[in-house]
Amino acid sequence: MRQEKRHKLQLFYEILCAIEDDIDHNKVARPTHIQHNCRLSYDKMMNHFIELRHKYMVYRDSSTGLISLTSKGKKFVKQYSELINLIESAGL
Amino acid sequence: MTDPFTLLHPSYATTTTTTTIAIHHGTNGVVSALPPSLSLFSLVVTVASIFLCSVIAIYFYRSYRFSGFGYLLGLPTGFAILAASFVFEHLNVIYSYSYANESLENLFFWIQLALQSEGFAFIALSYMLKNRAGSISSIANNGLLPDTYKVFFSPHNWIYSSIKIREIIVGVLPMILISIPLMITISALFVQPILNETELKDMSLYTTLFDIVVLGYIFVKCLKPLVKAANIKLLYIPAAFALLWLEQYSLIIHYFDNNQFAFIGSIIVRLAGLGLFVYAIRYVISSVRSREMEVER
Repeated sequence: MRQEKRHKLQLFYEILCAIEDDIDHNKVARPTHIQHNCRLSYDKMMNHFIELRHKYMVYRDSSTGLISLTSKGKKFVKQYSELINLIESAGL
Repeated sequence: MTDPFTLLHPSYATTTTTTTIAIHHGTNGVVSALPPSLSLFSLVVTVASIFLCSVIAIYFYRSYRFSGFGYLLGLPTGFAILAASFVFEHLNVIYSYSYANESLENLFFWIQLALQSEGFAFIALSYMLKNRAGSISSIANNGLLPDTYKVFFSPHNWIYSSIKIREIIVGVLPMILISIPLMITISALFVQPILNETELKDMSLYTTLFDIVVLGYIFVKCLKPLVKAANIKLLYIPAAFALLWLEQYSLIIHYFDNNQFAFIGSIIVRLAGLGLFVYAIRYVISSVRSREMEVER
């Protein structure tokens, strides 16, 4: 089944949520897990990931390769879910 | 006893013109001022309505900026226009007691009616374009047309032309929706460039009927996805639109019946509707925050 095209911010949100989810369940977030959760190709996921890193929303440990969310990333997830819930509550 | 609606909107006065004139003039023929209690009441209602509309507009504008979906812009624009209409409503009340400025009073009432309908039209536009954006994206994202569409869009098929016509109508509909309030109000100026009370009264009936139809459409479109998703907790916003619909309905009752309770009810229902809308926004946001706090614990 073909999936609907996702907005860039929606992709950011899904990537960040996948990181949070992975940390919650496995204590560490790995790129392959995130890629699997977001249903993205590895290249596309990495492109978005680099953009998120430039925006200081995620942090990648250069020695271990593990990913974590910054406070800015956490704030984005919170605000995005608030506003999406608001849009949904208005039936839009 | 003076009808409060006549006090707020002398243009609506249906009993006798002498009553209205008697309100305008003092006993000694001097132009009387607006009663302070009425002025204060009007000011409180206006400030409350503008504040509530602004809160709604700001939150939904933020949603638009954040999500980037263009169709969302209709809702904050609509509420901003609605807030502007309340300013003119208050100005109309103030000028309705200055007999020397009757033309200004009529002008402000005319602007208020035009803006109010335009505001509701913009809100409806969001719901109208949302459905279209969904249908276009679903076709575009599939890449290929579904089999049924392939049959329909075959140039040899007689259904093709009817679908094409339907598509054109659907495409033009938002433009019609936005232009109707302007057409109704501007046409009144073409009939008679200097607006009189009778004309404004007729115009108010047409714009109120338009508002009722538009709010009914918004209510249905807003309710459908929430019912489908079985999200009963989020029914506050459809309820708020239902209250705004009730406000317009009360104004219609007042138009025909001259019932002062219907008018007072319309003000209460309007404030309740806008208040419920703001409460719904706060409820949604606070529920997200409390969920996050639970996760953090």
